[in-house]
Amino acid sequence: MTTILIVEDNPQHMMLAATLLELNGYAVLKAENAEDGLALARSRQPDLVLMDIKLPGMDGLEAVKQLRADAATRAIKVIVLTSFRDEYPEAEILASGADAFLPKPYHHKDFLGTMTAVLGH
Amino acid sequence: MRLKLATQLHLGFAAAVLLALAITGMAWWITLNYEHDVEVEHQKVLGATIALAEAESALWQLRYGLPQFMVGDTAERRRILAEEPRWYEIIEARLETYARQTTAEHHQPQRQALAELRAEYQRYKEARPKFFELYQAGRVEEAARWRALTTTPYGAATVKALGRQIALERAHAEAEAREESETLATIRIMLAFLTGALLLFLAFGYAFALRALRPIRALQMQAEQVVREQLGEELDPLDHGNEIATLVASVQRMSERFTVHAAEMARAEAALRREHEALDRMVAERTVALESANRELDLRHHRSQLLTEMTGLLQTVRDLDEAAQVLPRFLEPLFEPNAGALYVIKSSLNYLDLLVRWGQMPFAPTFETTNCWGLRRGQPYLVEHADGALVCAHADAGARATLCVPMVAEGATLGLLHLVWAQPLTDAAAAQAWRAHTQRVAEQLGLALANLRLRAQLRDQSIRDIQTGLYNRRFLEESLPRDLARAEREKYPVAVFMLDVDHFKKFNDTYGHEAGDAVLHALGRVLSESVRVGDLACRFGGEEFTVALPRVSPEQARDWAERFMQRVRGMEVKAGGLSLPGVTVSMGLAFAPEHGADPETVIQAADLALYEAKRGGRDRLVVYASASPSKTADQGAP
Repeated sequence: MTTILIVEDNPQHMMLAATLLELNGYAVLKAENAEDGLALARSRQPDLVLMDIKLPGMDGLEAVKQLRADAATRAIKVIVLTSFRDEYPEAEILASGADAFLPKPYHHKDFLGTMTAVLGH
Repeated sequence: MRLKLATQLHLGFAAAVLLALAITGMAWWITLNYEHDVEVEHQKVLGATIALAEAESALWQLRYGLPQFMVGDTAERRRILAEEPRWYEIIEARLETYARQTTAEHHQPQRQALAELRAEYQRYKEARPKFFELYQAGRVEEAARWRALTTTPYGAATVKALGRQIALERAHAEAEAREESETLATIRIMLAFLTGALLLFLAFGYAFALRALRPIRALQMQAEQVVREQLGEELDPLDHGNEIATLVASVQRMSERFTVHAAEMARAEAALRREHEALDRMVAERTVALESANRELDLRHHRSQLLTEMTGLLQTVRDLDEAAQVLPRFLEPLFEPNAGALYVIKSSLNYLDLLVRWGQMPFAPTFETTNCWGLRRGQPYLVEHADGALVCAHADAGARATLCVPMVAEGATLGLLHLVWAQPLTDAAAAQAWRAHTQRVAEQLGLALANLRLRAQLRDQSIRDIQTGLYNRRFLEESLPRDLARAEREKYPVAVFMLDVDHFKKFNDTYGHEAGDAVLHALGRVLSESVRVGDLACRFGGEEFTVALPRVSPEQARDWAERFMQRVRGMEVKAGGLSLPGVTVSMGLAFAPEHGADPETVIQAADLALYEAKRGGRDRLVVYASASPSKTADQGAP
């Protein structure tokens, strides 16, 4: 089963994303901050990380850079979730090493489509 | 020509000296003359004496001739006889001389003696010819008697006495002459002394006068100089001769001048005083004018600041409604103390709507453009006196003066600035000032309104989706957070729908993009017709839409969704003249703040509900329930 790690501090949003993924047959791992997310990524080796950009402590982009820096996690696909309130330039997001980004709120079709595209199924 | 004082002095002195000399000379001459007279007198006395002596001598001569006659020859006798008359002449002349010289009172004795002597001589003279005659005739005895007569010593004593007398007189005369001469000498000495003293005195006087003259001369020269240099006048040559005259003339000129000057000065002073007063008045007037100008300037500055501020603020307002909130704060002070209103042409070109108003006068909320002369003529229309004048129909009946200034920008009339006065405008200048000011404000407002309109258009373009006429996703992201925040503040729920055209991809593939676009357009129209003012309907992207309905209960939201889906089902869409088959939509509904306080979460929740609606068979509404996902967590696999 394809495992997705969601790093998201908003529990409601976490639940929504998880629900959508579970409904589509993904196994979901959850982390509420970047540090936990990185640890989970290393230990559980998910296929894809959904990384919220705005997190308490280390921010999403930094976390993506660390994922990419670590050989153990370098291969894991990453989709960065941005909020329309924190306007990160697209280039900056992609420069961090993310495979794709998705602005919140997203339509489930876009969400699932992006996921499929990134995972290469 | 008058003589100078110095000249006068010189002349006077010379005259005095001459006079003194003349007097002295005359006195001298008189003494000399007198001396001469004395001398003449003396000589006269002397002459008498001499004459008498000569007469006596002649007599003696005659007597001594007689013996010669008697002893002599004939020749001798003839000579004596011939000489006789000459001797008589001499004697008579001498006697005569003596007589002449002894005519004075005190010569009485002399005259007595002379008379005796004459008588003697007379006798002798008579006797002598008789003697000669007798003697020659030879009658010697007879002749001797006559001879005796002629030889008788006549008056010898008298003559001697006379001689003594003469000597005395002579001595007396000499003494007298000497005495007189001495007196005269004394007189002359005194005269010389006096003359010297007089001359000395004169010399002193002269020197003193010369000395006294110097300051007078100086004074005169000064006065003259003053007249020449200060008064610029030359004295009359006539006045020039004499220092005093010059001085007098100069002082006179000066005095005249001074009088004239004093008069002029008084006049000048009066004029100066008048000037001063005039100046004071002018200064006062100017001050008043300046104060008024300052007030005017202050007012202008204040107004210009207000105008600038207003223009600045109008650039930040988003629409007319916001402008309507901002404008009274500026328009009221800008047109203080007048009442006025700003009308705008909103949509219809034929009607004006009241945007803002200020002051204590009523204004029509709306009127036709044809009711305003300002709008009809396309330029400011000022009615200073409402009575009998052509007043705009839209103006209040209570207005006594009105001003309508159309706001025109970019060739389009955007509105009207309307001022009214409760009293007629009597001051034409003030009326024109109001007109100019209003025009200025109207220009700014016109530009601002045009700008606002332009910005509204631009914003519309940026926030609207052209294809559907709905708001775009950007606008959703902008406004939904605001709407939700307000809802949270005011404690009301917001229903958030995510909806999606069912099988749109297949529809597109089957009927073409044009048909797809037509469907989206039709759906957009239905959606915008289905929402209230304040509701939010956006195209989320593709064939997905988001709708936010504030202040609705779950039931109302559900009812709305059902009605909407019904309308969609009944929607007839044509593309390229071809009627397309009907479409359906699936809808997910979530509530803020119940299912998500922030827009992202609530939209995501609605989207999840939509997902379920799709999974549940489409053409339906699913209300998000936080419990539902877990139930379906295991359904479906990738």
